Amino acid sequence: MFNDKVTGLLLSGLGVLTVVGAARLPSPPVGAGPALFPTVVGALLAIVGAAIAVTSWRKAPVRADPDDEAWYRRAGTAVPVVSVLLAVPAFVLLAPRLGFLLTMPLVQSALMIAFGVRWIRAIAISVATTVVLYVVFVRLFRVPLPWGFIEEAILWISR
Amino acid sequence: MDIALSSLAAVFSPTVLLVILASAVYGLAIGAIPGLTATMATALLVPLTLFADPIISLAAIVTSSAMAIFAGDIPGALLRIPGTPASAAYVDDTYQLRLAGKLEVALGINVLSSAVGGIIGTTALVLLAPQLAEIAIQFSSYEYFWFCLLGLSCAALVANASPLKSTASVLLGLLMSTVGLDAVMGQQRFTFGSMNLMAGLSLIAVLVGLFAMSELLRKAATLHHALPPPAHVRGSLLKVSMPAMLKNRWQTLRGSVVGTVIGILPGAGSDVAAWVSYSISKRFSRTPERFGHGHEEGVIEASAANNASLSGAYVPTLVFGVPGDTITAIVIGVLLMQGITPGPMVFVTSAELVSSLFIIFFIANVLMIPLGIIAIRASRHVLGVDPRMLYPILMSLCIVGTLSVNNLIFDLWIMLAAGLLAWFLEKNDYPLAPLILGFVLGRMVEDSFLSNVLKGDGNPIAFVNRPMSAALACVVVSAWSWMIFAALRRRHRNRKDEADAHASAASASSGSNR
Repeated sequence: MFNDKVTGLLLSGLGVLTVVGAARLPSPPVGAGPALFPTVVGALLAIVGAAIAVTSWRKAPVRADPDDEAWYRRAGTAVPVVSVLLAVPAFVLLAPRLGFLLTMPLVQSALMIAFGVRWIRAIAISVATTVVLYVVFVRLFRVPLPWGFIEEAILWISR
Repeated sequence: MDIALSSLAAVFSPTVLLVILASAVYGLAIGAIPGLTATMATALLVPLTLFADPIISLAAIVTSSAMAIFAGDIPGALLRIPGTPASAAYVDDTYQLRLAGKLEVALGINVLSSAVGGIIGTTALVLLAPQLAEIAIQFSSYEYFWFCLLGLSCAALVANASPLKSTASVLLGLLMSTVGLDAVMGQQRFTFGSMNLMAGLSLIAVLVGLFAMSELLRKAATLHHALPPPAHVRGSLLKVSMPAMLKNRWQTLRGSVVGTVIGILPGAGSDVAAWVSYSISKRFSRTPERFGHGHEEGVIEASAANNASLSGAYVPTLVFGVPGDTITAIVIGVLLMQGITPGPMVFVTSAELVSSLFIIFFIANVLMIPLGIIAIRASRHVLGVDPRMLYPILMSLCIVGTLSVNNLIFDLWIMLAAGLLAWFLEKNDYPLAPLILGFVLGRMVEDSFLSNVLKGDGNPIAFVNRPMSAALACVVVSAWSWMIFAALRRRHRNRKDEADAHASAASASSGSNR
């Protein structure tokens, strides 16, 4: 997707930032401290990144896999990729407010619809998946997944 | 003897057998679907294993990964698309066999040599691991330091990519391991003031992100590619493929041995094993020109190798706590969460678990023949699964799996970030196996290094003062000098070739001018 000059320089920059960040860490009066290891790793990363950038200078640019080239230019591929990227933030923001039992079907069926599945089918499959995950993780393994009003209602009914 | 009997009893309990059967079906399905890898199958199993007995966890991981590596061959023969990267080396051959009307032979040799390779690899694991543990038990922190460096060097030098990029990948993994409180002073490092980062990056969140989330991102861009309908499999697979297996029995053995050795090397897994043994097979073949055009020899050797590498990878994992491939990197995480520290002491403290692991490996590889044949016959249905419905379900599994480890919503950000990082790295041909090895080994490298500095009072001689540590240090240094020397020589030769090409082009053009 990118040129090796770009990736090499990015890694090199990350290495330099690590060394700078490590220099701010306190060091013990004697012996090696918490800064030593990150400094060594950062410095090596800076060198290797630079070497990647320099060696790529001489080579002809390698053509990317035509299969997934420029996915962002076509709606047919951009929408699925972006919706995968948005699914996790959506879950993170909604789950603490709405609870697992409402957020999971919402996020999963939205993803399915973005992928081109018909909405009735998307909702049906998502609800089924969520129920299975809930039974396995919450009921069987006692994992406290995010709590919401549906969970509250189930608790109230079962009482 | 008692241990052997008690672990037999443990493995042959109804629960474990049921788990083996279920994981076999799961592994076969994941492996057969192009784009879903054996490592992804393992990563998605982790949340379930957290709540199960260690033997059940290992049964699930071993069986599903072995089945997935075999099942990767199925779409290779049917569609010319490898199901997992480990099957990529010989898809052309199996596909050409199919075009020649020998689809049943291709799939039959795939399943038979996978099973034989797995069994030979397991035998090597059973014979080697306890012996090596006797040596490893004498390791001090000096040897551990050098051994970890050796593992990291292996990952950087053996991976199927440019050594520079693999090294960068190792370093990134090491860097990621430094996030959190440091072991010496309890100082916050690279946490940016976040409470959630104090304990370090959650291993499972990173693994799910690297190996599952990234696949979803990659696959989302190719959703519109519909798979062609696979061919029908007819008649007996075993009967038609037996002659080829018997003819190539030495190749099967060689592939299994090469696969085991590559599995043992840290960071190199089943995909490297398949490529290396395919090329070895080609080099020593009497008919190298037929490779790539539907020749059985290389297929048999490489399919034995990729399954043999799976059990080989458990040798350094159990003996030294250094993962042999990406799957065993996950196994280390699972064992640590179960309170078992991989290393030579495992053979003493968890002897029953170790021998159960051996037994499970044998069962999985024997079961591979009947279940594999059923999977081949059912492959039309598995390959017919609509990715537009499958991937959103896998996404939910990623989310729930990551959440169930620490119950921290924050871990989902780590998972997403790791997924994006993996996606970006793979698109730019940086391998992921070295990164995960660096991440898993980072703490061990740093701790052993710092305690060596303390013990030796800052004197660097202490690092090589014991015979074993000196020997390991020599191996590490010579591996790197050999790599740098080879790279320089290659560069020199390339330049010379370019100069020669220029010279001959110049003389050719001057000749035509005349």
